[in-house]
Amino acid sequence: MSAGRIMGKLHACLQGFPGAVVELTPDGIVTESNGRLEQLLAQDLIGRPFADILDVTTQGKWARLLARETTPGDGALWELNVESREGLDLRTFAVVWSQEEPSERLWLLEYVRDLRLELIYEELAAANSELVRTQRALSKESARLGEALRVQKAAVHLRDDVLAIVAHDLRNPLDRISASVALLLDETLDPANRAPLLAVMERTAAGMNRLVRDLLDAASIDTGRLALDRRQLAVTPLLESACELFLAQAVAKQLRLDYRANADMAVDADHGRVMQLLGNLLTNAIRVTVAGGHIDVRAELAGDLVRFSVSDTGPGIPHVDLPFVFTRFWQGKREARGSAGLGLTIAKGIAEGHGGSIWVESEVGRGTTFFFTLPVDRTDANLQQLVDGA
Amino acid sequence: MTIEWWRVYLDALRAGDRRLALVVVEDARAAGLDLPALYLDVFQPALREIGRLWQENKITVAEEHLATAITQIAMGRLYTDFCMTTTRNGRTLLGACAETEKHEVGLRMICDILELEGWDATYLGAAVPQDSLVAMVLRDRPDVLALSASIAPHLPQMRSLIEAVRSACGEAAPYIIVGGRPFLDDATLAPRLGADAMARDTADAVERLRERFG
Repeated sequence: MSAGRIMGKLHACLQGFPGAVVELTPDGIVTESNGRLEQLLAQDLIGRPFADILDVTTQGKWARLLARETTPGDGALWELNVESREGLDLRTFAVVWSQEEPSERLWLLEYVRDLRLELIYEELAAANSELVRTQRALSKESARLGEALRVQKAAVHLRDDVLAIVAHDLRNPLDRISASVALLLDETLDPANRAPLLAVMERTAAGMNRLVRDLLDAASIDTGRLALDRRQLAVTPLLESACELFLAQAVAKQLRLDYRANADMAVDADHGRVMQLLGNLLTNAIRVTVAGGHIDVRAELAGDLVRFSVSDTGPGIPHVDLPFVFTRFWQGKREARGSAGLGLTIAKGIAEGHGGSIWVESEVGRGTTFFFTLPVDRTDANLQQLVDGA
Repeated sequence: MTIEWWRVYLDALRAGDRRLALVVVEDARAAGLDLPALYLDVFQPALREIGRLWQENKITVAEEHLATAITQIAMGRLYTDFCMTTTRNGRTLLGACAETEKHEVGLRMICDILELEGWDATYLGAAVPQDSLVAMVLRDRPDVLALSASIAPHLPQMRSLIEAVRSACGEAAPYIIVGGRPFLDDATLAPRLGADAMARDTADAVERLRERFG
């Protein structure tokens, strides 16, 4: 059989072949085609660069093929993205360099894929997206439930703690009040003794009130429901009024109490809560510092925050205790129970409720400094107020 | 000696060995890599190299898909461990691909990394019909809608999606950020499609959203 007849028969075969068959010059101009690509793209190819029908993502790869940068040999499979009307169409071609004809030719013979595989792949991709969505939703739900469980457990602990506090710390003063009432009911009591008994009852009741308020605050902080009425508060007057409240106590204990702000500035905070925070720190400082000691209250600007500090020259907190000072019911000295041990927990809750933080530095024998931060308020109205006030 | 984890991971991907790839990820974690480092310094360079190998005709699309699938499994494992440990910051993002997009690892990485920073990011991925997506935006009112298209023919779909979201939400439309290969070649493409911003890659997207909403 002559070469011509073989080519003639092959021509008929190639026309019937389900994939594309294309003959090109070595620089990629289409010279022959069995028409499959023309059907797909509805355009003529003969005489045009094959690169015209390739997607941008494949141009570099095609140039590499023509340059024979990687020559895996005749029949090597090349995947090329054809840009069809529906979108990208990945086609696999066996590439053959033909040397036998008068001029060199490049043959692309499509390696026909089963389109059903394509459909299966699309289904798999959709199923994968679905799985990823579900996994993410489940993970989030699981985390939410874990958090809910943690909050619930904390609530149970809190309830147990509150019961213990109520049992111990409210019972004693209540006993004291009951005893006073019994004495007052005694008709033989000298009227001159009534007033001191009533004063004891009043002080005791006030102490109980503080304890109940602290318990309620701690519970609000715990459940993230500490209500804050935030306003612009000038810092110097804030320090001034907090320190004034404690001056008498400090003087009575022969302590020096100083305060200073290093600049005119204001914070965005709840006045009552900040006074409570400063009060808790000052109460502790006055309680632990012995006569002749010194308590120093400072405020300074630190970027977008105002950093407050309350330093004392008290005994200091042992290093091992430092991590626990903000934990509920922690007490410096067990025997010196002046309160329920909620003061620092509440201080922390107030600072954090404002978006600030609280921390402590202490050295045994030298003293303790509590620091906390509150967001600075730089609004014009505030500046104006500071200027007016000055 | 510092280990180039992405090369070790790439070797496992090229071998098509899922178990080995997952072991490499575990080892890298044990060596101290966190989730953004694993995503941006291990998975991303390895997958980019896989893409380059396809361009050189050294691997087939099937192997590329396998590498992506293995990486998706690795990401799924990391997600549960990493993403739920932080407190939420109230920011929300909805991430979706063009409806016919096959796989979009970059978008998922953005969702996971932002989630780690406290965002609530919902990854919808591919195959979500436009109507469902618009309904979801109206229901959840996310701060950000992140859309990804890996090839130019998906862009008309994206344009029609953005139009639908904008007309459904009016003034309250989310911040729309787009990304993907076609946007790299043409900076004017994103505004022409109606997007608010364009991200060059995962790290760029995270950086832009941090700046905008930080």
